[in-house]
Amino acid sequence: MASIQELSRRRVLRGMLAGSAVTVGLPFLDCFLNTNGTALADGAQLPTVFLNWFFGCGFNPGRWEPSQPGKLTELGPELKALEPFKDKINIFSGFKVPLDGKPGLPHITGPLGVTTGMVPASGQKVTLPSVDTLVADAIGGKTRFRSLEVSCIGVAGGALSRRADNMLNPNEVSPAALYTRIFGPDFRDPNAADFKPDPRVMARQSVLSGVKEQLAEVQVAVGSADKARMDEYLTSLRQLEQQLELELQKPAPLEACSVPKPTEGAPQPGTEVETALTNHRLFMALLANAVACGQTRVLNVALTEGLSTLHKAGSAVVHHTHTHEEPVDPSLGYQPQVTWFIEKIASAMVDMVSTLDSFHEGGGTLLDRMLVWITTDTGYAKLHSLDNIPMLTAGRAGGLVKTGLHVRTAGDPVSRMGLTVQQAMGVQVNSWGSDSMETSKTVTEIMA
Amino acid sequence: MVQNTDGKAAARRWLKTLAAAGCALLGFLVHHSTYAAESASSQKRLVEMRRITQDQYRQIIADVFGRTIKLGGRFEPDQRDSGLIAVGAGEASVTASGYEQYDGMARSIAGQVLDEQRRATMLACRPADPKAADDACAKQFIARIGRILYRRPLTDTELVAEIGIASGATAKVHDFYAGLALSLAGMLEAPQFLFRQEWAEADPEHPGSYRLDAYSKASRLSFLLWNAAPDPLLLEAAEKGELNDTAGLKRQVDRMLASPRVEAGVRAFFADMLSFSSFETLAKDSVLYPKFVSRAPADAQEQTLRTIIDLLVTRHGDYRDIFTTRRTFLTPLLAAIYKIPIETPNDLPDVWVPYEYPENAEQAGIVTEASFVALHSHPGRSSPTIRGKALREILLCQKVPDPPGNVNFAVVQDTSNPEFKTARARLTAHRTNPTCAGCHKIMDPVGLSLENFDTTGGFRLTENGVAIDASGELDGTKFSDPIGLGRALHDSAAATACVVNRLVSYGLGHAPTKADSDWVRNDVAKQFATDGYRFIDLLRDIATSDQFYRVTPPEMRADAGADRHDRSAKPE
Amino acid sequence: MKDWRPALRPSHCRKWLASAGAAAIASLATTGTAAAATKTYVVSWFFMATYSQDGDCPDGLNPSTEQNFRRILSEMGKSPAEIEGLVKAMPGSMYATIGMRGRKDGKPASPYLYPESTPDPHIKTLKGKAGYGFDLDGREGANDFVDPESGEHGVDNQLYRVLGCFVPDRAFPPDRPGYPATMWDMPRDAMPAWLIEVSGIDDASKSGDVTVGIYRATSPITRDTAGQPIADMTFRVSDDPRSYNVVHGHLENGVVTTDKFTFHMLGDVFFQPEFLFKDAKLRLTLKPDGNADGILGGYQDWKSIYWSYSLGGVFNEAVVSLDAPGIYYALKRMADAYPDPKTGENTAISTAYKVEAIPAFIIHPAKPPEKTASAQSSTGAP
Repeated sequence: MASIQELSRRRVLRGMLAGSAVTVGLPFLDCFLNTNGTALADGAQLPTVFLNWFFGCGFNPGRWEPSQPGKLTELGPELKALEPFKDKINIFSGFKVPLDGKPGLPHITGPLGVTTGMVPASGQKVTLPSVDTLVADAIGGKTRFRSLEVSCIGVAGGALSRRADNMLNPNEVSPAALYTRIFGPDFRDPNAADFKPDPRVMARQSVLSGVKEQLAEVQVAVGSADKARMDEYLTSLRQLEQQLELELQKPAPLEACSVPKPTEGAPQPGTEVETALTNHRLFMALLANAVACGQTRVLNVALTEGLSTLHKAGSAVVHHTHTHEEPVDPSLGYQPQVTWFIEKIASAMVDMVSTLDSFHEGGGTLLDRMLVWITTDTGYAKLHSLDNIPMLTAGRAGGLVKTGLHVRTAGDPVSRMGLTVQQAMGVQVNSWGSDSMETSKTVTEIMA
Repeated sequence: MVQNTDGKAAARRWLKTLAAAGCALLGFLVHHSTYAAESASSQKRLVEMRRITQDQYRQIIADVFGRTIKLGGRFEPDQRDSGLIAVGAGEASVTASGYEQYDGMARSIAGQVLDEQRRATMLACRPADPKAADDACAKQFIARIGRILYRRPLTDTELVAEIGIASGATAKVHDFYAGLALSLAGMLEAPQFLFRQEWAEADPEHPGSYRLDAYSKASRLSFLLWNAAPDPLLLEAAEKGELNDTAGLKRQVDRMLASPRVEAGVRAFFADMLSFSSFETLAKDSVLYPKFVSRAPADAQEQTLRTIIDLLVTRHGDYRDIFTTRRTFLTPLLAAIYKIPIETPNDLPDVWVPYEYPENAEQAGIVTEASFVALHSHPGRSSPTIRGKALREILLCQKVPDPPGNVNFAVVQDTSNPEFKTARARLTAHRTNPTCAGCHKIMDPVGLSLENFDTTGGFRLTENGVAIDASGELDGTKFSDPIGLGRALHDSAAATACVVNRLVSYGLGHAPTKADSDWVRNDVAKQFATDGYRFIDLLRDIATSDQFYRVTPPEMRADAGADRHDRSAKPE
Repeated sequence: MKDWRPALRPSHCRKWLASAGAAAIASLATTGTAAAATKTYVVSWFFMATYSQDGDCPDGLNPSTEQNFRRILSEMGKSPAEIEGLVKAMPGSMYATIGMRGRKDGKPASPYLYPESTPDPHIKTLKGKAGYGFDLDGREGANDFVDPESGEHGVDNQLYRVLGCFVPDRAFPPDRPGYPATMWDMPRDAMPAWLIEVSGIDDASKSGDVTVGIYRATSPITRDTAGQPIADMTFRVSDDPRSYNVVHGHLENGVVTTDKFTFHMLGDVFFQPEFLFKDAKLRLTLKPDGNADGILGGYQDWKSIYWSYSLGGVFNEAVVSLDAPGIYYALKRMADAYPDPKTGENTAISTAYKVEAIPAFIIHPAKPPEKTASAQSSTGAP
């Protein structure tokens, strides 16, 4: 064994990373600040941030797509509300989830295809991580939270953000609880004048180390499937260690960070439309603050599940049921009740974009350094169609992504977007997706 | 971990950092031997790891530290697989946000356990100096508590490591109790606590095979019968080797089955099998169904669990009767939902009152209770399809096939817009269209017989002014009302086979393997019938069978490398 | 399929109940020749019946708090400048002043305890012709109403005339007048519920003789998600004789009308501790959806009505824009029955209250209370 003191920490870890499948969460040490720490201090180059924003049951085909590909000049009627943000978004049409003869499980296969690039065969397990997890693995190791997940309708057992189908990231359902988690007693204000490392935190670190040591021995004894579970446990433990390490350092000041007031007035989580929209607004405001204060760089917001259970107070029928039961109005050409829900969802989309775009940072807004990937589960809910699944992006990812475009394909797999989004967020990947979704064709139209 | 600039300590620090990178680096580790290493030397294998559920976590904390300890955090949602959280637990890991929560809870619990009011009771000894480490006193606490938390005694090395952690933490915060609390918190988030680690040893009675070691056996037994960690008597029996002796095992099983704590075990099983975790996200439209107030879901679950306990435990009854029993328990709220008059002592709103339906009632058995009909419905109306599917999958263990790949839903577009007044009418397309009928005929006819129960469980004779037709059919048996459905379930072989299958899976933590299936079919199921389908006897039979404790180490499994947990895509 | 549900539990289950320590439950369907049915309800709303319309207060509506206070302060001799300042600042001392605006022997006195210690403000009273209630005196007088629901002429409801021009006491059905509805709603979580039973309903002809019981329960209502009482709960009837009313009635086309009776019921100190109606009548429509609503009218001693409005003192006056002594004077002037033998002044005023009820189950006490010979109220009113 070489003299360990001679090895720089970075060199040793690089060597280890080359051979290891497990990502190491590195403490945010001074040696890294040289490359981008001074940038953080003066705010010139704040890190990019990823948000996967999901809603269920899609749009009405023909009413959301712009008529021409290329520059976004006119938005379809269902996305009209996004008009003020035309120059900051991209719209993607014509992408599909090819089944290759495998079952198309309504509201399940669609989102899985979009976020993991895989369609499971009957009885098959999906052991692949979702895009946001891959992004978090790449960029989430230096922030207090690797990522934050929320559900706007109160579903804690999330199915969207996952490392594998037995490792699903749970959702926050209460804005007030999320506030406490982020800005409560463990929050370190980057702009605070004074800072004193807390000996209790150091004590907690030593305890976690002790837990970790004993863990390593268990790793030897388990079978291969359980080994993956222990790896995940270890990764999660390391994330907590990361949090503690950050608590012991004075954070770099962040101009746009100001601690918000505690979240109040959040309605009980539920699927009634106004309740969901209100909770969504509260969550977005909180998450925007969290990002501005450097707490995380990866967000997952599920407005609904794939099978949208949004409903109007006093109505016996939920959004999803309407998509199947409501007849198409012959004079309108679409289902009116369903479209009412779509319009509500679009208004939430606008809320989200405008919340991020009204956060001023440096010379621009928070949205400028973000890449928001808006996804859904189907191209036409009435038929559970996996063709022409709507996708949008918002934000420029700090200049890495062009905006104001409509990209239209003739049935390309959705995995092209999953690949593109990862690349834009700095994941080192050249090709992604399984079976006929395997692709290396980045959507170059939007790459700057 | 003491921070100093000494070279040796720096090296130790580096080595610990290296350990963090994962198993590729194990060769660099300083050799701390733990249970794993010691077990390796005695040929033990880690065969199963099941994350403890929310209820188990709460129960263990209450058993060890008493009921006054408050859990200050949120649990990572339990996962369901093969119909059971007990099986999903065998696949669950801990996510980053989950770990955060476990850590918060652990520190909160540990802080309460050693706070000024409680420390005198929790700790028999006193530190020599309350501001400094006291290894002897720490050792007493850690050994005693650790044995119950980890469901086995700590090894000498684990003990030394924990004492070291406590003293290290104490040195930083200059408070013995705070340091000890931090080490306790560490134990509460360690895998030995959060996961039920099951170790296999060579089985002397079946050379070449493996069985659970004594402590793992005690755990499996205790979680099956009481949904709790082994109590001191069971741990002692394990230590003395009594659980490997038929008479010794039987003694413990009988003791545990005779205890009131078996109710908690039976409750936990049925709450899992009946998918009560879905109540957490259940909501009913408050304008259409104002009776479904915030306590309604809890009352609904409790009603069914009480019905089941009364029948299967208190009265040592026949499992099949849960589908036909007229004896149940009601609160004033449930009585209002079911539109039944009841009398409560002293007019207390929270009291449970035994109630028996009259003989001509159209309501009997758990399938007509709110915990079934309300749980498996939409927020604003009932759903025969969801209820039919739930009945098949939950009570009969029958999987409804996934929809085929290219279902053309265009065929169900009906532009004539007829006004469908009842669910039966609304589901016409399911019934008449051949693409749909194949699967829907498995679900809808069963669920339609429950249409007299609206989405909250309230009884109704009409829907939108039209009389409800509650006739239905289950695998060839026809009936005209929910009582008939209950009878059909009672007489169904699938129902009794299902509960056996589920209970075995629940106890094992995975769906039965080939070897398990033979045992289940040829021994357990037959014995269940012979015993008159008495659930307590089924528990006894499983808990005293050798097969229940036989295991196959991972490297020896025929499907080694593949996961034997069936993780087919979850149903809608 | 027939509804198998019994209105009350059949007798063979009594032993199962006995284990729960139950009292006897009245059974049905085993007595009588015809299938006589009983409908039971819990009262969800009870408030002064209003039928507010444009033009029914030709003298205008009663003034707001601020206007009242200005007038009072002026009467007390404050200068315009002083009044301006006080009203703008609304200081606690001003409330105290107004709250003691009465004068007895030159000294400040409570206008609530001694309403005649302040001058009569002559509140505006209702002049309209439409109002709910019953013809209690058998005559058609100049002040009588026509009931908009029953069409009855000669309806006596002087209380509505007294209060009907106060904004918080106005509403057009199905809206409920704010103040009376709030007074009913607020104490409900603790106040034992009121129950109505209509028995002897002969299904065949849908008309005929019935018996109406109005009782008090031993427990309050429980609220549903909308804040209303949960329907179909079970209540035990209290055997307190002050809250046990049984009267003969007639059912016609779904509407029950009772004979004249004395209505006695305990309420809540928040709005009125005790109700005593003489020459009372109940008209109740039994609706197909299972609910019931109607009017309960009769002569009430007006002083207890006054107390219910004045109990809150100056803060009630301020918040609700009332004038308590004004109400006193108007009640006294417009009371229309049961003259005091000594003074000749009427002690009772005609009233009508809206009753709304939802289905409930009731359990009778083992022994019904014995009505005392003269149903004197404990407050000493006639």
